Amino acid sequence: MKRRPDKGARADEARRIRDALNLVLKQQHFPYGIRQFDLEFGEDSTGDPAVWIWFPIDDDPDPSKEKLSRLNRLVQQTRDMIREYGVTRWPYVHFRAAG
Amino acid sequence: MGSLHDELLAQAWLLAKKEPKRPLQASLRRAVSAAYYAVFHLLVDAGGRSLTEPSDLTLRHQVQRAYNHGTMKFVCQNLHVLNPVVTLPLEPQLIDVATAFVDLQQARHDADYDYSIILIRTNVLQKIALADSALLNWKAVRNTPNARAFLAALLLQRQWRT
Repeated sequence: MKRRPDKGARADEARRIRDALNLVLKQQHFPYGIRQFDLEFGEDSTGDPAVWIWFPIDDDPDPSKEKLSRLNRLVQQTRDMIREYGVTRWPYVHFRAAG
Repeated sequence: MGSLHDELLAQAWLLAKKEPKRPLQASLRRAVSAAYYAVFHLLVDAGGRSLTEPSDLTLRHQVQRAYNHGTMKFVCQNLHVLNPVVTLPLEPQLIDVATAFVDLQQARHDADYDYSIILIRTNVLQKIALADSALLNWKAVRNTPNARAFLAALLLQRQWRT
């Protein structure tokens, strides 16, 4: 299924999200080597404006509880920072294979 | 017999680790789905219990069938709609449960219908850990007045709007 594009996506919104994410990654000392991200704008399953944020990461067959907690903190801080930067669309944060 | 939500969470962990070296997309996608449904059934079960007597299983099951994924997502995404039936500020654990519900519902939708993504185990385990945290956070707040109001809103918000 192809994600429905969101007509409301604007360049300045993308810039604010990028600024927020760059700050989060820097504050968290680039956890697990994450230095980049990809953004995808669209509508979520109920038609609300959303942004999908993809962090590339080396897959780990057996991550520790500590690692999973740290990744969830990264997700939480990403959400908080994006709100602080005035973006109201819902961020869906995912990790995908690096490279 | 354990609770359905606990069983679903356990199933999610099992599916995510089912193939130790090269996980099948089917296993990973079903693991995400099970993680979402663990939180969904947790809230539906709690809602049914909060509105019925323990002995009235028939009524409880009918109440549980009335919960709607879309309405629940709307409430979780717009917690301000809980005014004025809650006492502010909301407990952080309650906010975390609501946020996890929204994230997991969309993750399930993507896992079930978005053929363009290739899931990796780390991503799936992070989602399951999120569901795990939601279950723990719910335990911390489930007996509060705000949690009861939240459960009522998950069921009735559509009617409150009209």
